[in-house]
Amino acid sequence: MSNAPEEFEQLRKLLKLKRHEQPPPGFFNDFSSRVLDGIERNKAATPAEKLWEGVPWLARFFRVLENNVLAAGGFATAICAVLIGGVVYSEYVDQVPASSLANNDGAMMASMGGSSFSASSSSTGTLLSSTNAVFSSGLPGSPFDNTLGSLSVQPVSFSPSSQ
Amino acid sequence: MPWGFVSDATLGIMSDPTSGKGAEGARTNEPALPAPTTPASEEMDLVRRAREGDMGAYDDLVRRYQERIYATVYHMTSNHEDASDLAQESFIKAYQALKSFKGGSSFYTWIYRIAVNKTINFLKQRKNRTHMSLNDLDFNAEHDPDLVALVSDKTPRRDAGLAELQEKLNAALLKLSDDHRLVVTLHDVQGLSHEEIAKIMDCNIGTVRSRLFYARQQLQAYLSDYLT
Repeated sequence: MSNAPEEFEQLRKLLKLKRHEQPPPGFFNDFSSRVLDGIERNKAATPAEKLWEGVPWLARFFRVLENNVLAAGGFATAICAVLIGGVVYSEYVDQVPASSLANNDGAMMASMGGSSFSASSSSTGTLLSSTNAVFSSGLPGSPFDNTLGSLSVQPVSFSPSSQ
Repeated sequence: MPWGFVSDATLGIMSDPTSGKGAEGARTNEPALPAPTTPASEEMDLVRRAREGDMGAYDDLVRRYQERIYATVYHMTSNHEDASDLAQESFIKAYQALKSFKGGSSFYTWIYRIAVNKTINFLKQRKNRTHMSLNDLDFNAEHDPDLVALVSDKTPRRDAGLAELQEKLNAALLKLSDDHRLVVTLHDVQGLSHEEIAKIMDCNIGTVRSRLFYARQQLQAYLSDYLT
């Protein structure tokens, strides 16, 4: 291997042509001012724009999604699958046995309101189920203030009135 | 006077001691561009002031190297618009990275490396979608004896012959890989020495020489019709 000048003499002469290529007249007159303008623009960039520039891999990822339909479709499908999976999982977790609710009524009321409740419901022998959405908040002025203590379960009988 | 060409002598860069002569790029009858007469200390002072927020100092730095940086990028891309954008972005990025410039190399080498890396990344993203937008040849091209000899006597208009030659040359350069095109650009077009190219490309001198040899072989094959 030799890079001796004479070996590629003609080629080197031809490459000199590149030195004669010139940009348009006046190109460099305001080149530096354009650079300084760009620097000022970068300084004024919003944090979101700077963040975008700070994670070029993310910009490339979105560029791939823009240019490749299959990739975009696959990504969207994956997102949907995650969402649906999350919903299904949350439904599965919510299926708690009803028997556990009767023993945990106090804890349930506390978790629902975050405030204290009287234990009068247990003294009156009432049964609170998860479908019972009405209970006293314990706060004065609450429309349900007087309901908790008087809650009772009575069998429902319905008989059409005879006329 | 052809711009974008800097001989090793004017740069003050030591030529390759094993070649037995000066760097090949220095063997020219053409007057080289005025060398950067600014001593290294003055350059470092400009860098320090720019780092402290003196935009005038950075403007000065940009003006010193804008032609050479633009030329390198243009010869790599063969596209004036891309070269203009990339050269500007290189200087902008260099300003943002000034704090990381330790001074281990000259600012000239450092900004060159930024521009080269940015250009290569750009070319990788563009892949094979090349689009040439060539600059015009200056007045001196028609009077360069080496070029005149290459243009066929049968060509009715010498300028048309040179334009065709320019297009074929740029197309051949674009066929090279980015690294091979870069080494030809830096050495045979811009006149940098092997040592300086090795610093810019962050490789050893042997790699520079082997890439240069291979690139020249490839170009010779592509342009065989135009080489007597």
